[in-house]
Amino acid sequence: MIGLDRHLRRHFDWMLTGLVLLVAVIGLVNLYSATRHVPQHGLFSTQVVWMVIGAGIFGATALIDYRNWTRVAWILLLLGIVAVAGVHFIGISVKGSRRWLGLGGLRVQPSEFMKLAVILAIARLVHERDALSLFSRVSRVVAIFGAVLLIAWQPDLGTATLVGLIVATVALVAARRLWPVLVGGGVLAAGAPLLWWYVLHDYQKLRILTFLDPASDPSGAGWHSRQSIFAVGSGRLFGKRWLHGTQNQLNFLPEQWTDFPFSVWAEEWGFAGASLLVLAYAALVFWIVHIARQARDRFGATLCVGVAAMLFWHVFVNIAMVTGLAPVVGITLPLVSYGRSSLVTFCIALGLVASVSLRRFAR
Amino acid sequence: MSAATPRIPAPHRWLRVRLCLVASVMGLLLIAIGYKAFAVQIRDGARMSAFARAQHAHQAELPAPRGTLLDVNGTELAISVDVDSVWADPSETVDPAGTARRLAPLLGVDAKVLLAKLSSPRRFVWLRRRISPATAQKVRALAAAGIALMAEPRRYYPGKSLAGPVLGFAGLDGRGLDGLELRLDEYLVGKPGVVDATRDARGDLLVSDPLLPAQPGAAITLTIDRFIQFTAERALASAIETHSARAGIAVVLDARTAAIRALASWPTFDPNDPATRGEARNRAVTDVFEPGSTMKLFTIAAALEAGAVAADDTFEVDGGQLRIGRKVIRDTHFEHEHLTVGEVLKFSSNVGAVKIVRRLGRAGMAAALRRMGFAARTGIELPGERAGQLRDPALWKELDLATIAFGYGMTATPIQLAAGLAAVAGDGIWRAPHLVERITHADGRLELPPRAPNRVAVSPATARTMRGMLAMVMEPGGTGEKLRVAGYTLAGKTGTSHKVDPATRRYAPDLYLASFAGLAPADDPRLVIVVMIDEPRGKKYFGGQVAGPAFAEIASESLRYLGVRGKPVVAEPAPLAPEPDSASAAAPVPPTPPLEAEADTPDEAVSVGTRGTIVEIPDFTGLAIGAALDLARIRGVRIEIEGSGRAVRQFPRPGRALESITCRITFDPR
Repeated sequence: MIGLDRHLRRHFDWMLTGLVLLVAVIGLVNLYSATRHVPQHGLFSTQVVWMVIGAGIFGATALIDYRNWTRVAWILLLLGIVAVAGVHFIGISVKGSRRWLGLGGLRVQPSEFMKLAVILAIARLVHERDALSLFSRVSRVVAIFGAVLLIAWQPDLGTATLVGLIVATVALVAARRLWPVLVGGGVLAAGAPLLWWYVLHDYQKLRILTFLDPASDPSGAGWHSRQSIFAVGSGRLFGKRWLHGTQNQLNFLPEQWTDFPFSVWAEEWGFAGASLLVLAYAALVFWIVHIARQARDRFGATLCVGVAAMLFWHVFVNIAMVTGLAPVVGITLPLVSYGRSSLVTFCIALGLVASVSLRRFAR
Repeated sequence: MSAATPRIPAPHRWLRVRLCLVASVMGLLLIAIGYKAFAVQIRDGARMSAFARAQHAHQAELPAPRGTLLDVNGTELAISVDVDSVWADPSETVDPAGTARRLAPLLGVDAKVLLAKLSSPRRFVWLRRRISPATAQKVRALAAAGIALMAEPRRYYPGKSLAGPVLGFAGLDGRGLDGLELRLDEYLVGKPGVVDATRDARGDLLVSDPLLPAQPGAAITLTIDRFIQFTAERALASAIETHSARAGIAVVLDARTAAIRALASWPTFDPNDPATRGEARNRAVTDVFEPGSTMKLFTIAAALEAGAVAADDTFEVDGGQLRIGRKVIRDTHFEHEHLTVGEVLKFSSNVGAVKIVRRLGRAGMAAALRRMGFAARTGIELPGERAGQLRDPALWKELDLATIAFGYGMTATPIQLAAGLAAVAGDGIWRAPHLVERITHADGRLELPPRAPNRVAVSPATARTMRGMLAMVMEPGGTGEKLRVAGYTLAGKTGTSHKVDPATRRYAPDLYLASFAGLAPADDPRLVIVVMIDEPRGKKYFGGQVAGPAFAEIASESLRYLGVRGKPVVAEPAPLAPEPDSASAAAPVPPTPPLEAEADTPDEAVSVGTRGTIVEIPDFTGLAIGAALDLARIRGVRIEIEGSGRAVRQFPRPGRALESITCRITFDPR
């Protein structure tokens, strides 16, 4: 089942690998600058180690036939739900957010892997929907929405929104009929005020309020947003040169290595560098969509759409947040942000896409 | 493919359509991001850069060390040392009330005042400027948020009140406010440097290399000689004390160059504490007087130079009385009816002077006085110099011409008298009296400030005649007969003028100005000395009695100090002047090391023996490296530097040490 024959070598997706490598290299170059003057030590070397591990994961996932995942999709979703629920009770808090689970010395963020589990589950649902009864289909949809709500309850509004966007995107592409998707979206939009009153925590409300009026609290909740915009804006056309971004090097940017690496990049490389990175992501997203179109089966196609959506929404939400287009939520920039869970999740996801791509012409 | 893989139907056409739709939406959203990046980075880029810069960039000014003032031998009279000042950034102060409470006892400032400052909306407030190194240490140890120290140069005058009014003082902002500090400010201030200071998110200030290093002010070597200045101040103070006088002046001029070796005023003040200034000022340049009889020497010089009289002409003094209109001019000391020109000077005959000036005439007298420097500012480098008054000679009545001949009806500053005397008794050339020897800029460039040009006052022959006549004053019978000192022959002219009582606007019978203007030594003058004692209140008030002894003391001490060869003296010991031992009187007198001058100076001041092997190691602690190097160079101490920042330790500790010793100074950046 691990085919390394001439056929596979001929069809190895160099475009996909090249784009992933480009983004990863940009990410490392940027992370070196972003972590140079922070009090935490060893962030950069840790990321390098995990990049290497991630490359291995990418390769391995690419070589495994993606169709094998259909069988474990629901088990993975169940595991994900248990892990996220576990976080709620025995999780580790970092800076007030309880999102991590201790796993033998490693800290794992289950909500990151949950995205992948949800994508696999949707793909499985789409794949086998013709053989399922209405009740089975509805119960599975409910299970997927339950997972999303669980993340929101954790509470990780950013990730929950993101997973919701992924689900919506995939549903738009893969749903047999569009009206249930549109009606569901409408109901959710109408329910947003309820979300505001009953679900959102005060700090989350504050972030949204300061997003709507950043000047209201410049040194408090608006600080992150303002600092990030200053950093990006002061990069101008060609930036301040690598390692010379003042806002970054002087630590005006909060958490610049996890949530704000794009500000570091945009400050030091300017609009030119920022455009390059956005174009690289766009090329990657569209190339994955292209693979989806060529996929030999519905499972592979849905999987690719899910990964494209995940990649796209991560990039969009992160950059929108960094440039002041969206409120500050903890959404990472794929392959550029520091963080093991995020990195490994994306390596697996892109490995799955590579696997679909490898086997698109297989008979 | 493995048979275990489930069969999966191929994607349908609808999938492709929806994919295109979703991809288009993604594309549009990415374009939106790109546009937002463009808007922030390109459209608003300049504004954002300014915001970002404002957060971290502070262009700080590096204070330039103020130039040093040195005496003619290089001894420092005014130096700048770095001391710490405490300032606050109220926006970064965490606990203003607590911080104010803890700082108040350290700084000696009321806690309420501090709290008000710490609650200010400004980003920079001084809390206390120029604190001691020990206090600075305590403030540093407090490590209060928003409170910081800044090194500021402080002016220090090692000689305390020595030449105080001459030096003047500089304010807290390092600008000269009085005296030479004010007049020479443009040379002393230097150019402040600019440093790019960067503030990180925590508010720590990181200072980069200076963009523009501070350019220290020029070092200015004055013509003042610390020893002569000290001698003049001491003699002046003692004369004023003896005669309970109101004020006094002593000017010592180098007879050959008109360089001012001493400019003493009493009362004086300590520029380290400008609040004590009171009435202290450079009276020799700011105050004008009716000089009285000392003017006779200029009257005679003018008449001799014009050929109106010859040195051996004799005049009848009409019994010491001369009626002009309703006024009668009287001689104070009438003994002889027939006086030669020299005797008019020797006995200070008013009538004789009037008869001499009548031969010269108004225009001749006025022109001669102007050539000798009267009625015009000398251009000395001190603020507030006055010109004195000499009215248009066309308006002089007979009485005016007569009184001007013996120093009434005109005014002059003591510095004008000294400069004029230097001209008419030197080589006949009038030279501008000056205090600045040279200006050494930080880059080593030398500069001399502009001075009034030299001009011929009288011929060398007239000057020689005048020297002889002035020496006669000191001979038995002359008004200065008691002013002989062992070892040197002196020459000069006494003056005792009545002062106008400001209340009655008439000459007061008991208000005098006792003065003496003299040369030392008489035959080949090295120094011109003018002493004026304002309103002596004792029984003695004649110039020869009150100002003369101070003149003699300054002359003999200074000549010995300068190593001027004296003459063997066989005459009786002089009563008023210190007596040199016979060996030094016969042999060339070695220069006296100015150690005596140090005895009265503050302990911070250090004796710089001209060829001594003992040096005084100053206290370097608290100084920056540059300041320590400067201090070491000035004090002639060898130092070894360890570390960077501010001096925290030194070995050996301050005190006397052999010149060969090297002082090891440890610097610490904290």
